[in-house]
Amino acid sequence: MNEEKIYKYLKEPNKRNNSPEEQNKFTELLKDLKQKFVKENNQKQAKRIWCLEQIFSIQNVYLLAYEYMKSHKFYNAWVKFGQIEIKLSNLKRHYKEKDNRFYLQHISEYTKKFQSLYPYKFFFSTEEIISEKECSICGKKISLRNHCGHEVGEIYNGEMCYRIINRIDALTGVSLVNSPSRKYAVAFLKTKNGLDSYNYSPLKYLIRYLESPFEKWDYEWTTTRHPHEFFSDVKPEDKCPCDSGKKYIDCCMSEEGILRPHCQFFFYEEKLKEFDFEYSY
Amino acid sequence: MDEKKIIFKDIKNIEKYINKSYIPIDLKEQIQSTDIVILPIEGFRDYKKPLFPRGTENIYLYLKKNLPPRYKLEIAISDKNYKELSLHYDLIDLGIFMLKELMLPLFLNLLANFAFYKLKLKNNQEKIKLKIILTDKLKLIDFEGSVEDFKLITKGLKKISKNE
Repeated sequence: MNEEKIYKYLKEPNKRNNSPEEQNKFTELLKDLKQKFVKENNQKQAKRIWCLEQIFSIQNVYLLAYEYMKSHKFYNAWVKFGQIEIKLSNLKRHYKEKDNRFYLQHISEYTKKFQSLYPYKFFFSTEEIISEKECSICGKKISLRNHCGHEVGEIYNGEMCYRIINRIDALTGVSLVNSPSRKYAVAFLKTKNGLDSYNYSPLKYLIRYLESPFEKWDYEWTTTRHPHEFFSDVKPEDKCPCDSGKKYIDCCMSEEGILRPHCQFFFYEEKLKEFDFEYSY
Repeated sequence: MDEKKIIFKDIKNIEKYINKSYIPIDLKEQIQSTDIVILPIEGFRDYKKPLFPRGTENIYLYLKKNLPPRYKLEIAISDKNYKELSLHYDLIDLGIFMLKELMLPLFLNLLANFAFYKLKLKNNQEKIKLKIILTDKLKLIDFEGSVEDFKLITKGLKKISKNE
């Protein structure tokens, strides 16, 4: 495969053969090409191949996240979306996509959109005291005044520099936070129905109608009134199901229905007419 | 929103930041004539030893590389006792810095460059925390807010510093 074919392959993530064998073949191809440039000490070209490797990886993780969503494995997809964020963040200081040629702009935008529809609100966050780190490039122990010179996030010989933590002195605490850096650490509440009791209804509704991971869509949160019969087990003195904090009798009971969140999806592709694109819960 | 943004506090002296048993004697002497000093966090939960926010190593290296050679930078700890505190939520603690007011515009420029070009911070996605001790004015500037606030305050502080 020559360079032209490499770019063509990366420009068509949804049309190419994405079988594991083909993906391995392509990964090996990039690796060999990078090794060639490293041997020639051509740092610029080695870095360019690193960027292509990252683009390939981001596309694959996004495709996998979409597959997980299609099979209703929503937490698995969430973890993948978190990985995409990290990979995009690593890449953006070295490569800026101008025209969505590799779908990175789409992936970035839709990763955020999918994430925003998740019901996760609380995450575990650990507090650690790190006393020893080493450089991923040279393996040298990190010392401030006798530093190896390799900077975190920079590319050396076609590899990104990061720190390997060798020693943690203490785990001082675990907090519940709403904006974590480790997004995979979702707080789950174990119930009789299993570990994952979250309501993924908007995502289930959306993914049912999506025909491609690269399809464009949008959504809008509003509120709508639902019939009182839907909440027949709620007593007048109970809290109102609209989550206002007031008693049902003092809130929505005298209204024509109970105010609940309502998500309206907009698709850019033409869909069958009988599809209802609005979803409330 | 209960953001604290920026608070100015008077401090009595700077000795309390320097006279620490964890700073080696020779380093203490050097610090007296250093233009920018990075200070540790003390008393985090029950942990007795001084700590630096995660990524201080990167800020230290960036400042070292980009400060004009006539200015000196130090970190108030020996290499052996350098430890980082890693908190896994979206608050970027840039650290505690001690400097003269004259250094403020240059320092803030470098720190903003580090934050926007190295950390690639985006507007309103992350929160930033930062403390600056002005040694000649005996003032503590305590900032915690969004990236947008950080941009505004950086501009404001530079203006105040230039006009005085």
